[in-house]
Amino acid sequence: MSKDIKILAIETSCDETAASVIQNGHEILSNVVVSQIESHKRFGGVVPEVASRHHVEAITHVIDQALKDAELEPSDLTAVAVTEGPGLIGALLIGINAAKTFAFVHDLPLIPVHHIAGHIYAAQLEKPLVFPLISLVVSGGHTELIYMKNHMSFEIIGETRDDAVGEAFDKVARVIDLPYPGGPHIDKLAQTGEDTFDFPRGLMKEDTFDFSFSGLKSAVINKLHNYNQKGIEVNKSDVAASFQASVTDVLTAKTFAALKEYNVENLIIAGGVAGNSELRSRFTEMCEEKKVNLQIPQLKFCTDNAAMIGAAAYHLYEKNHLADLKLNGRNFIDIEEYTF
Amino acid sequence: MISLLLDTSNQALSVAVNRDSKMVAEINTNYKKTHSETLVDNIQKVLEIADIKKSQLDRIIVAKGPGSYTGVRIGITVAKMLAKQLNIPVYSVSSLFVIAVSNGIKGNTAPLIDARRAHVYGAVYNIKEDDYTEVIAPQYIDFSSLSADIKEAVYLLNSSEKITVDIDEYTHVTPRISQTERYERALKLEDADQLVPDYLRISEAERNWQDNQ
Repeated sequence: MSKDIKILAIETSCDETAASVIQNGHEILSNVVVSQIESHKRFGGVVPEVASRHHVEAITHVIDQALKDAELEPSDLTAVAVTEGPGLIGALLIGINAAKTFAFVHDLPLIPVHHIAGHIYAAQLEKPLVFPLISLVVSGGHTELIYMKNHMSFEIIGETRDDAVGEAFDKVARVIDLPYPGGPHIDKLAQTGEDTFDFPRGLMKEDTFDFSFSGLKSAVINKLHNYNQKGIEVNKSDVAASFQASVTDVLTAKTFAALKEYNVENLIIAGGVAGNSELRSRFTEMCEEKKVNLQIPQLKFCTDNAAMIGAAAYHLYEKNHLADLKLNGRNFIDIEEYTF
Repeated sequence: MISLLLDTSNQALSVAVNRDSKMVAEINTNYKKTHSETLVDNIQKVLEIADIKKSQLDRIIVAKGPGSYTGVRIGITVAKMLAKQLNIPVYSVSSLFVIAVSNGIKGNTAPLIDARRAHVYGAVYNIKEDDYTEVIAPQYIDFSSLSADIKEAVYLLNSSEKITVDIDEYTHVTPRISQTERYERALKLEDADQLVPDYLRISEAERNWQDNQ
């Protein structure tokens, strides 16, 4: 019998300081996340310098807690994993330098992990991935359709040409006076509204798996401006519902077209926007109808966390993808580079 | 007593191993490679050169700023982690004090770090052989107001940095963290979990936010 692989994973790519211990790529021995949202709320978005400062404050606490919750000593670990990128560079560097120091002190192998690979592998914390699969990654920084024919094999088949979908949620939330982060607030408000505005569906009729959300965002802003000038009171619930309907229509249409084109029956939806209730219910319904195996991780694994990094790191460890102590952060890494 | 000392507050990097406050080995670099890439690697190298095992270390000493925000954060993060994982104490020292004692200049010294827009991070120390007095505490200040308060001092500037303030005469200094340990009084014992950089400035976003309140 082979030895259990226990990986301490660290994630600091944006505004969550997180550490987790994952056994054999899927058993969660601990999962600690310290969120900075309360601090960034006053700015209406994540401020990189402020995020980096908070990471330094929290990093040792979070790592200690992850080991304590897992009831492990550093000597029980097999390796240390850390998000290499993409993300806010100053934020990434805190996790990377903490991970390198931990690996150096305890003579452990160091595994660099792609943040988006992590989001997809969050699904593995609930059940093993089945290939080939397509993953729709939707978050504040990403909107991508990724084809995977096997573990650690990534092909981008569609991506946003402008704003990420989560970014569009935040911007629309701001213009209808909802607090940051906009996603959950729009979701809630939309439940009492209806799609009365019929906002544009970006690139819907074009023969591409790419996305575009800036036209939708502008349409919402223009409509509100127009109403404002005419002195008409706008129903914000209907704005939220109409915006969300446009987003969901586009995401479902592109995703099912891709599943058909690539002849794939397994779909994973990953990233923070996967927490949106309409998106979840529409995909669930449509996947049942079209006999597609759908997996959307529970909300706490959709938003940034280190457990997902530990899940992806397991396969990188198996493939011997390791870094030395010169590992640096990268604010952008093409996920296709992460095919091993 | 064996100490590992780190300074990553500006472009220059200084990593040293001291035994009983005297330098055993020191690595100083001054080039474009980032501290994020080189610091931990250079710690491994300096220990190798000094023939010291990490388990033999008794304490960590780290320059806690002011300086480049990203730079000091890397030094502080690594120092915190080393202290916790090796279970040894961590001490901090002002990055300006490192500059003040690196060249062996005695008397009144005014170490400066250029902070652009006519501002500096600056302090004044009266340095003696084995002791010192802090004449002006480290602060972020308009250089002309600081220089008006300084009667007599040698201006010391970190040799790697661009100088944008109007200053006539100064000495270039390569920061050498090994030189700080004989001034024990300048070292402050820290709680590793609580340790954060001494930025001496809040972030721009927080400043703007406060101004709007």
